[in-house]
Amino acid sequence: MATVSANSATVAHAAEHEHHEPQSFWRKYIFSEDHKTIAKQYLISGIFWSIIGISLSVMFRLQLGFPNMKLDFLRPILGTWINETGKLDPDFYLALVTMHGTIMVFFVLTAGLSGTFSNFLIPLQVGARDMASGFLNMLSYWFFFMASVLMFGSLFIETGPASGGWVIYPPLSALPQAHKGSELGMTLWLVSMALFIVSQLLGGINYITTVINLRTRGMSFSKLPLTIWAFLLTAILGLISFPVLLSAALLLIFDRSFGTSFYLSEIYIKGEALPNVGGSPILFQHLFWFLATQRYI
Amino acid sequence: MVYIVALLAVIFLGLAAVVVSRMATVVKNASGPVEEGRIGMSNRINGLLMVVFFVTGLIGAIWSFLHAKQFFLPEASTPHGRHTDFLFWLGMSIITIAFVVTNALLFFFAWRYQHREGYKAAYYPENHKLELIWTVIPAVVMALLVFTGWKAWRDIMAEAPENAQVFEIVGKQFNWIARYPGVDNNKLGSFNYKLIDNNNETGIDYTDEASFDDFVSTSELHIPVNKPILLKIRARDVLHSVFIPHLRVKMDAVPGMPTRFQFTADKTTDEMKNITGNPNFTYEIACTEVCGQGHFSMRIRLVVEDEASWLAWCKEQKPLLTSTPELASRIPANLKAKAAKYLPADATAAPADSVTASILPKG
Repeated sequence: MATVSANSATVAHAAEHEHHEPQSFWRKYIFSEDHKTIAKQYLISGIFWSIIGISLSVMFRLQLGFPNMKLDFLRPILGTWINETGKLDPDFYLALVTMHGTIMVFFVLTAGLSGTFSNFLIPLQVGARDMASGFLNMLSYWFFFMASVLMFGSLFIETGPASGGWVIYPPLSALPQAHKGSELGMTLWLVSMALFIVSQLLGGINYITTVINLRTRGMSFSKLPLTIWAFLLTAILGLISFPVLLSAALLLIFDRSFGTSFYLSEIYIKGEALPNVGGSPILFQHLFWFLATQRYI
Repeated sequence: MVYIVALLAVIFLGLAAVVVSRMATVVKNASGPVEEGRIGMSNRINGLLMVVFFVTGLIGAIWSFLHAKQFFLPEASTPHGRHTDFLFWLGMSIITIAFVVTNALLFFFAWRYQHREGYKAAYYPENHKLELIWTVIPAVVMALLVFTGWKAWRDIMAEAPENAQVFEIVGKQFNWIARYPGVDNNKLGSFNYKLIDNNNETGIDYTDEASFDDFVSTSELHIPVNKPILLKIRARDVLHSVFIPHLRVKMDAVPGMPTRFQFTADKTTDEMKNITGNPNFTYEIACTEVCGQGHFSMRIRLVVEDEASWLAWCKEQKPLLTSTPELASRIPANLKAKAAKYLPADATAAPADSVTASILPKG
């Protein structure tokens, strides 16, 4: 008996190995549904974003630490964002701080780290062959990629990227007349963040499903590695709180573009009393920090 | 400066190269079994480096703290500020002690219990008594800290006393406007954001007779010492935040949602000049919420003086109505007589014209 079962196990094992179908370059490396490839895609994107995010912080910290320093050597890259006295333009300083915060918190820590490690390690450590849904996993990365393209693009527009702080509190972020960074840059920020949240939700559903349903035989919850517990809880928290941020962003989009007053009330700006009354900027802060408090943790 | 940056860049690149080469070694070793005897000198050196890291880190942290002390704010000029400072340092002391002790153990254990030939690690899965102790004690300490903090917060946010002197501060891009309750009746008049224009920057409503003697300033806020102050806070356009560091006062200014902060300053500006040894010392009210391009320069001077000189200063000020007689047209006809004493003679002499009359019903 023992010999027979050992043989059949070997056969089954061999069959598994032979099961790989040849894949085209596009399916294997670009629109891949393999968790390891997707993890690497997240890793490479995360490294790209961390280089951008850190460069931005080096720029504003040079200005902050050495207020009299001449930054003319950055003019070939930054153009008129360096003003005639050789310092960072005040608008651009705020843009740097804002984009540094956004990139590091969302694109590096959330997507870069969580996306890479959850995708890479969850199937390996729970003993699953791949994620519960390879297709959702692929969508998750490509939504993140689209969000990245928009956010990166916003760095290059004439009025500059969003610059009301990474928390983008309205009314500053809601009123284009209040701030250069609240023009096109803010719109791109919001659309990018909406896509980003979709990506995180797709990823999170996948991580949770995989951990709950695809554990190998004998891998009870009490035997689950601590890393997997951490990924599972992170994913659950994300799934609970990211939709709240999406609603905050959507209401802000409505206030900016469709004349609603969710966050706006009794505002006089640039010689004009706006008609909006009854909104509350504090509502946005509550919605935003519902997400961001647990993101920090 | 450029040299420092270049130097840092070289150090960074050097360290990056070291990390990459170490990574390569780790990856190479990870793939094969560790040979006997490989754990030798390097293990001892790494164990020792743990202790060295902790000690140098601790010395660095202490040095940094002592060095930075010169930049700390002087003792708070308000009783509530001294209380919150006490709570801050209490919490900070507890955290620091816990941090140093746990980290000392962490780094010391890495050295003390490093791998030795022939030694085997003991399997010690649980100890309920120990877990109970290290859960309950921090929980009690944390609860006490939260409770004392909540009590302090409740006291600071309590209703202002009846005799509190009221002021209003309005934030706009990019300065503060202080509004005083006036030279006579000591009451702030009502306001409406739709009344704001260049003549009336805070939207004072002149259908309220308490508004007639209100005056405003964009350069200074004068307050009396040792008297409860109720600061009413508004914003005109975007979020701002009133920050008076020396008084430990901080409160957001929110459009459409007036806020307030009550405090008692007990050191005058002159006293602070002596305490700090800085003859040019002034209290500053800054903005501490990003509000746009000019945020960094948004400030107003705060002058704390004894009550007599504060009253004398107030008497010298002119109500907004006096300095901007154009606003007289916003006063309803039945209140014109009451407003007359604040208006320059020529403004009162002018009859209420038809334009004024047509505006009145709307007010």
